[in-house]
Amino acid sequence: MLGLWILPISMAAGFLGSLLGLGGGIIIVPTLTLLFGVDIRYAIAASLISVVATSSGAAASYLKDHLTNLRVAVFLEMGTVVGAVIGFVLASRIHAQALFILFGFFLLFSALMMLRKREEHGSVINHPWADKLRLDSSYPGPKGEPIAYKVAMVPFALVVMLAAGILSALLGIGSGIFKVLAMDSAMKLPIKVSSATSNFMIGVTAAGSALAYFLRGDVRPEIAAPVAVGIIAGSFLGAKVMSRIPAVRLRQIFVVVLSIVSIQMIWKGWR
Amino acid sequence: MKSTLAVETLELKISYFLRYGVFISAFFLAVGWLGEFIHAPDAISHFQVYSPVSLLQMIQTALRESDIFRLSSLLGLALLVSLPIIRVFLTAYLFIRNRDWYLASMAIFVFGVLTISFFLGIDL
Repeated sequence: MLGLWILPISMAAGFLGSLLGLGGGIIIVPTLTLLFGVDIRYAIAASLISVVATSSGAAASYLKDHLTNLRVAVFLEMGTVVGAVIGFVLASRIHAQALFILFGFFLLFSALMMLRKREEHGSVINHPWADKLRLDSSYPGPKGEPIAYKVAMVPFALVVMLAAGILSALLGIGSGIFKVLAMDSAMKLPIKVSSATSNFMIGVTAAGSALAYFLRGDVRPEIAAPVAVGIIAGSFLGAKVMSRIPAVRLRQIFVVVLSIVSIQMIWKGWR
Repeated sequence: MKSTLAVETLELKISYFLRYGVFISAFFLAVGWLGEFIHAPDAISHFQVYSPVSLLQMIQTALRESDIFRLSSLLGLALLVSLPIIRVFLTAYLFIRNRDWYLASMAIFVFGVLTISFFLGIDL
């Protein structure tokens, strides 16, 4: 009956993943390998399915609630997919060990910087590209009132997305963390919009990989089906909670997860 | 005002597509998983060693054994995985219909890179 535990664990992963825009991979892979003793290749394949499920499961609600900025997502997806292709080409030529340590410390530093921000720090003016592409929008506040926001540093964010795509391919980690950081810190989007938009975007690149794993037969229905069912249920729940949770709380949860991931990265690079 | 309304309509259409897509795939996945779980509750512990079986082989075996639960799971997974890719295509189509050429070309570009990388065997 150990197999039954996969359902609540996946639900928790879907809940957290949809709330933070990260996908559920950081919970699913260790759970499957350490708790169930599943081979890492099956675990990675199931984790890709979990990212797709988190993304699609929560995206419907986030779009309807105007938390996802569709135009920003489409614009930034260009950087992510091109970056992922470049990362794939570079992966065989670059020794990623040092990168783990470097970016582990970078993420730890980013976590500390995020912790210092107590309130939303929106941009007051649009970048010219944001005007041209009409990237600015609004999202519902605590009482449902629309809160308008502007979009800053658009070209820089595109470059960061390119780097995020390269890094996630080189390091084998989901790029959700880099996406949320870039939208929050560079583009000055509200944290809820950053998380929801990242959640929307992560499904696209994960689906490309998931399809390849699926055709190869690494996606085993015995593992991936309960993971996906749990993740979908959890992500629906996460999407419902997102509109009610205060932005500052969301930021705090993100910082905790960011710190854990950064320490994991540094540890991986050190070994 | 008109463009804001157009984006909202577009977002709603994509939202409905994803919602129904996820519901349908979750239904097939849940039926498949429950059916298989009743027969083999600890199936998950049989994957400690990697032994590759292609998707085609899995489908052939399920068809030969008339394993509807396995087929249901596979169908659910196929639907789930294809959702984000169809979503990019749908976004491009809807932006074209709204004559939003910049965003339409961006969505087409993303769809193109995804398609090409898949056929080149690039694992994103």
